Amino acid sequence: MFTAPLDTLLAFSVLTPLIYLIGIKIGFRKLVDCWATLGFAFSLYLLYLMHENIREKVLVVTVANALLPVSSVFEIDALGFFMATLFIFIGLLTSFYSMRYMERDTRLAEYYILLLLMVAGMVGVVFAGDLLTLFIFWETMCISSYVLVAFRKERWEPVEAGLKYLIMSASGSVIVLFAMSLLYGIAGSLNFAYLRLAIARPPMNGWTVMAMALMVIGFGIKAAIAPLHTWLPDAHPAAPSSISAMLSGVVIKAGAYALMRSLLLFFAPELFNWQIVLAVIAVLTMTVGNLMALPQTDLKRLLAFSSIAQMGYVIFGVSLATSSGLTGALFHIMNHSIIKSLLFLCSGAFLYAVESRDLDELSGIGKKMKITGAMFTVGCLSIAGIPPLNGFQSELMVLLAAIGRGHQGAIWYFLSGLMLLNLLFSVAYYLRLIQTVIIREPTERSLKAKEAPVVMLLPMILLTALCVVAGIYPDPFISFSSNAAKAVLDIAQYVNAIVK
Amino acid sequence: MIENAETLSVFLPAASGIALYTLGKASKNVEKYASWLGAMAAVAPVILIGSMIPDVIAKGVIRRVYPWIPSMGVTFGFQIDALSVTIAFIIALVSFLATVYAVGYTAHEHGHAGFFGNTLLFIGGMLGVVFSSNLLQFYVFWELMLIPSYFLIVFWGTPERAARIGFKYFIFTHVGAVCLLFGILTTFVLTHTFEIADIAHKMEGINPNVAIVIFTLMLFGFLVKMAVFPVHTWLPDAHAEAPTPISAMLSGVMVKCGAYAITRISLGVFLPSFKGVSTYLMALAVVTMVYGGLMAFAQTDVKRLFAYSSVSQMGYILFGLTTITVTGLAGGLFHILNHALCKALLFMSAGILMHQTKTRDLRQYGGLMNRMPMTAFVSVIGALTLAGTPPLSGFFSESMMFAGGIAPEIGVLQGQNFLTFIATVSAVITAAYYLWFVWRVFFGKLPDHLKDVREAPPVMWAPPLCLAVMAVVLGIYPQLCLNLISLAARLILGSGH
Repeated sequence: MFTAPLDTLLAFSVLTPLIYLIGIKIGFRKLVDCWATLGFAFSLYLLYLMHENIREKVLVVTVANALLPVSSVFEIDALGFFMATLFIFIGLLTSFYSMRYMERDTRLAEYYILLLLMVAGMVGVVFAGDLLTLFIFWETMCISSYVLVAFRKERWEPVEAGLKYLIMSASGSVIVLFAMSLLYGIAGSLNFAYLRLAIARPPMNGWTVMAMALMVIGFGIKAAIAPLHTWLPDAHPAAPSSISAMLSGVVIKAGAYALMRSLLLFFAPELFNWQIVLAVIAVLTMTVGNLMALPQTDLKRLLAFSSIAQMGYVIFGVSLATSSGLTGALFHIMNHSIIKSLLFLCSGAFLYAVESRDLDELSGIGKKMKITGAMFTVGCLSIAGIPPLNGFQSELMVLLAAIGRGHQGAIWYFLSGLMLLNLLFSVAYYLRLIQTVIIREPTERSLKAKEAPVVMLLPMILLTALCVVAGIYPDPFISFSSNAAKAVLDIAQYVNAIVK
Repeated sequence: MIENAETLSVFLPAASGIALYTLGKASKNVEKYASWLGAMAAVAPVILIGSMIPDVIAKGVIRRVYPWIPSMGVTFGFQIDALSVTIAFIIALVSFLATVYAVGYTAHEHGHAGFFGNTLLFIGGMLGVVFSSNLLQFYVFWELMLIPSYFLIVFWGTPERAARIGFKYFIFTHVGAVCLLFGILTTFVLTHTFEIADIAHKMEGINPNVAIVIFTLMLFGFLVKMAVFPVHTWLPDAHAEAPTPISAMLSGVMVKCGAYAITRISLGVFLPSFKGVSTYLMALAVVTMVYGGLMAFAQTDVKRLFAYSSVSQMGYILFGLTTITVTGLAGGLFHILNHALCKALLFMSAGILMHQTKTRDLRQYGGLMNRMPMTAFVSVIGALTLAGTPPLSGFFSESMMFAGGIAPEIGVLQGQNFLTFIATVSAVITAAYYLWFVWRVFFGKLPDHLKDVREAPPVMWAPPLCLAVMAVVLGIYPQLCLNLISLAARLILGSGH
């Protein structure tokens, strides 16, 4: 109904309680964990089978009501495919990791339903070809993530963070809804292709500009752009680490996707000239993220602030609205998903071992958990942009694209310089993390730590390997990103697939 | 030349370093023999690079380019010419001897596999910097040289201070590196190439004001690595607190990568910009020389003395490069060699002193001549070479640099000539603190607490002895390396100079 990979995720999600019960009946409690992992793996496989259908073209799937322009459709191009691959891949690793990580929790049936549903929501968002479909899947994603943040409801911190997240993110959704209704009033359709034809032409209309501003705010809350980021540093640390990996690794990327798609498709940059404004917001976001990360003493909170900074780099790439800038942004989305998931999974392993996320108590834990410590170090170096790891390659591409626009105005040189300063600045706290975790003498608490179980190590090893491989041999990863970037800029292809 | 010698000389140490580290964690046997395995792996680059020398003399420039990231137009290439081979050879040689020395020095330390693994990676990084034929690859290796050296300092350095000093080292060098990166990226945007060989002529049409900004950004990165005043402050800390074999490599060869980069990129590619600022740079070089020398006088810690002396000596080398004459540049390059040999030697002697007497305070030493004859002998050779005493090799390199600095068309005490005069005078400071060092440590009365001190094992004094022999040989017969060096200087400055 909704394309094979998405159907699979939804079906697995719906059947999870049944499997959970069967697992209890036959005395094999891990059955539900295996089931969810299998669901992700199967979905990823089905997604892979689709890659022929979206090569150089756009796949249109009608969801409901075939009568254009008010039908609900999926329109899958290389960008949607790119994002969906990331979402399901990170979902698969997280789910595998959760087999051991979540073993001390109860209510695992709910956990896996929500995890599968959240990924299904994200995949739906990136597949959607009209705003209504997008909004429905958007809310599916959001609601699942609120509950997952507050999953450990017996403690106050997740509940408080979850509530804050709920309030801010729901306001964002409402703002998006308002923008949608404005656009419907102007264009008479919510279909992306029709919207493009109706909006992106002179003369400019004050209402469209307002709709654009509202959309940037609404999606920007999810993408955690400053000053709308304040929910993130509370929500991401409070969630179980596997969910933090999902939230920081991929969920905020859904916001970046929505921004990218709406700004480039409806609000054509050559007409609406949002580039410099967005670039300034991006630089503000990275600066706020980096400055706030510096004094943190809570490992996961520090990583959450670092995610805000990294989103700044991504949005900066988007703000260039050129093929090279978008390639850099998408490549950085991919790399940040890999690295931030790795770092959150590592911090989850520390948490699992010593039940603490306080950096003072975690001192020297890498001496007891040598493999996790080494992988954490690779992750920190990579996100700090140290060559030849993958974070360096994509930060380099964004910077190169930004400096390349210098001839259009000295402000781009200035903003690139600020981004470079941010990169430099961020090295300080990543280095502090490395020093704390692997160099300082172990505390009493970290002396008790034991190496994480193999099931938790495997996804981390895979992610670490990806960090190194995508750094040393980035070519296949760059061409994957650049195909997606080309697709998002190929407006004619996207529109013609719907409007014959 | 051995087949693919340049690729092997970079990747063999790096790969064996990673292998040693991982295998050492997995197997107790590997850990037990890690130090000798490391030393054996470190000899490979010496042989490989040595085999390139005849080819370079015969053929001039050899370039090997492989595809790396075709979608960005980035290649992976090696530039083999007189300049890169000379510097790479001295890096490989000094690093090999420092690794052998480390076998003795770290005998009672922990984590041999980690130490030697990181050391090999460090060697691979330095050689990669020198052989890179494009700027992006150059930057990658530039940072790759930083990471293992950082870990070596923080894990095996002076326990109480290592973490803080490692942080300072990393941040200082990284600030420089980021400026360098900005320069590299802007160059790419303007010229659409990262290839060092192509940039010079593609920069011709570029606005000179833009060119000077790029030049300054990159130069700043190199000067930080080279530890020129006033961005030198990381060096005395890092070099003094690093484990001694690593100090020998840091002071002996790593800072020379900064000098190499200035020669290759600032001089080789941005020559017009360089000419515009050469007098200011020369003044900076002279300040560095004098400042480093005076600070060395004030030290009571033997390793800090040598570290400040390195700052001063890097001033000499920068002076040689800023003369922009074939004689001066050749003198600077020759001094890179001499300083690499002698500073590595002196750090090794300092390590022996610390290892055998358990103190690094100069005031505690005295009269060790009879107790440690080998160490005394090599230290005296090293000190005299750097003090510029004939007929040791330092004399020739210094006189070449100063000769290159004199410009006959202006007055005797004007501009450049005045700076050259100050530089020559500052050689007296160098001689003075080195002689004082020799006097305080090896002559005079032997204090009571040093009565039982004995000479170090041969594995520790043999490497500095090799270096001392080379310093003497090069002093008596400098032509051995001057052929290659003047070839390199002419290559960089072109035949018109």
